[in-house]
Amino acid sequence: MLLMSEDYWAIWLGAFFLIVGIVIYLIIGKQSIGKELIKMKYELNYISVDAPFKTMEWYKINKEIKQLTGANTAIGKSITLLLRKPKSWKENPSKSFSFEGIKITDLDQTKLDQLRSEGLTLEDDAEKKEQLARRADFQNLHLNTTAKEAAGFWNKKQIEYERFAKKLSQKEKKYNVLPSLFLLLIILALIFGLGVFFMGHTYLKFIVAFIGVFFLAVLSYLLAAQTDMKSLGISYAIWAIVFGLIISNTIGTPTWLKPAIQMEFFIKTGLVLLGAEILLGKIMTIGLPGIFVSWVVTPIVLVSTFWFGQKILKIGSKTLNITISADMSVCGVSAAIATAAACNAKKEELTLAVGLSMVFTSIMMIVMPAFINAVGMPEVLGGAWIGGTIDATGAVVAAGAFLGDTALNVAATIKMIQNVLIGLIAFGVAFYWATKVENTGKAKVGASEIWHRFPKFIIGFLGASIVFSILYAALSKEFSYAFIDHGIIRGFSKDVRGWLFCLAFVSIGLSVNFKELKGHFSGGKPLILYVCGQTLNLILTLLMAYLMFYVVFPEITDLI
Amino acid sequence: MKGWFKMFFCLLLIWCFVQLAPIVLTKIPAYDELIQKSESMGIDNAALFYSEEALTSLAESELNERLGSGNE
Repeated sequence: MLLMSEDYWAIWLGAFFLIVGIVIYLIIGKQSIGKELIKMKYELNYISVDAPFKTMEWYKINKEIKQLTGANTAIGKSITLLLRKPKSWKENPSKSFSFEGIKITDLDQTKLDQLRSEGLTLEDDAEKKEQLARRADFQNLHLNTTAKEAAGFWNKKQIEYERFAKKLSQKEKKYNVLPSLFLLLIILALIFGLGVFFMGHTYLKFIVAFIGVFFLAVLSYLLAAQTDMKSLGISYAIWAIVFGLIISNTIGTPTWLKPAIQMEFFIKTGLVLLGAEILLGKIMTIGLPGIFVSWVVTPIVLVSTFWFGQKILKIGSKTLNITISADMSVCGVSAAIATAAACNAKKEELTLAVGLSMVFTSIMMIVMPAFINAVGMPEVLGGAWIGGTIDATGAVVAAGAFLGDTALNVAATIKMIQNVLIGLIAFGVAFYWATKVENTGKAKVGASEIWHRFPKFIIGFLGASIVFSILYAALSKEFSYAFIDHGIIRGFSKDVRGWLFCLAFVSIGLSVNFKELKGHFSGGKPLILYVCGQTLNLILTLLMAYLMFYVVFPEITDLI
Repeated sequence: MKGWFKMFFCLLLIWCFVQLAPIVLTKIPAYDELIQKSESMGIDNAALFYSEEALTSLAESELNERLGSGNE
């Protein structure tokens, strides 16, 4: 049973990847940079005691600490190389795979020199002001404030300079992602082939078919890496579905490709990995206002939209209804995947939910910041509104950045807090489906029957979330940042998870029929559901954000 | 043969979309400003989850510092 079921294999493979991540980043990575990190932390603490504000030295050491991450160790860099996707390109797609690098233009060099020179001027100014404050033993409030402001300006310019320098160095850098793509193909084929073999399929046939599915996944990443498509927020997920759909509905899915169309296996394993990214401690970032905006409004909108879909619109499929409701109210594609897997939704239903989310994300990403600017809404309120309503994180950050740094910080953080809700929503939906929806008889179902119906991979999903949340809380702030957030998660699991979701979406596209898809869209009900739910979401989030940030906790807003 | 023709036609439509969408959309000032900003800040507009976008980490630590865990 434990080796035959897809759910259990998803847990085993998810756990395998996460254990590999723990060994690479938390054990090997910690050995290589752990001592240096502790030393830096002490230096930072010493400086913090010395001065009552963030001095230039503080910014310098803090920057070094931020660079000491698991992903920046030798082994972390090798993993990053292995998991590389096709790179960004504008007109020539071959540049996505291999590139000789270009010399930076005079214009770029001039801009870089200008930023450097501005940085040096600000550094000089900040140093002088800090000296004055130091001479007064940091007892003069006016001098402290002036020095603090000057150090802040210098730091901001430094960040701008470094960001631009990094962009230019990437332009100059040579790369060839084909060998790592080939290696990744082999590794994934061998690992997933094992699972498929134990589930009763032919190993060799899977390997051959996997090459085809992997090729389509690479093609999806290639289109998603096109700069204009990226700007529009069109991610690999939609391209993967589109390419799969085109093949299955024109020439038909070739028989040899079918053994690797393992949509649920890829999704469930990806979801176990996603569990590790759901760190419960992150919900405390902005304190109560963040929790109210993300964790109170979202469930209300989810339940109201589901109720509206069932009672008013009378949508025939409950699974379609909950998948759209979750993807609209929580965080788009990721929430749609988790909810659809939890309630065993049809692949056509997930396709529809993902498509709706993508279209509205692209629209809202442009319309919302323009509207907020036009009405002169404050940045904190605008940021919270954007973070709580736009589905995908990238679009939230872009829309927030459009308004300003404060809006960006609030929007990105609110979205991150909302992301954490996925675990609970998926568990709640799985439990509700096992106890209520699938319970057609009137008799009360026993615990063993609920367990039988319950999708087991959810245990792996929540287990990963709990284990990583505990690890995150148990380690010091710097270690959690370096080895979990910027090691296991951002350096490893999110990339593997991305590949698995991409393979899943290719599989979905390859097995969906346009006619069936059209049937689910009958009367435009899914669209009406999304629009009505999103309207409620927009109203409630704005109201809650206003109440939390301007009426109940204005002191927090002042600090932001 | 008909299937291959349909597939070719669909791929042609995708190519047209990739070519034309940016031309049309950059005519919208808000969109143009948004992509300029995203490019200059290195934002991945297509990121689906918080961990896929580097700036979420910076936003989190900046807010944490401002709201009390800094050294002020």
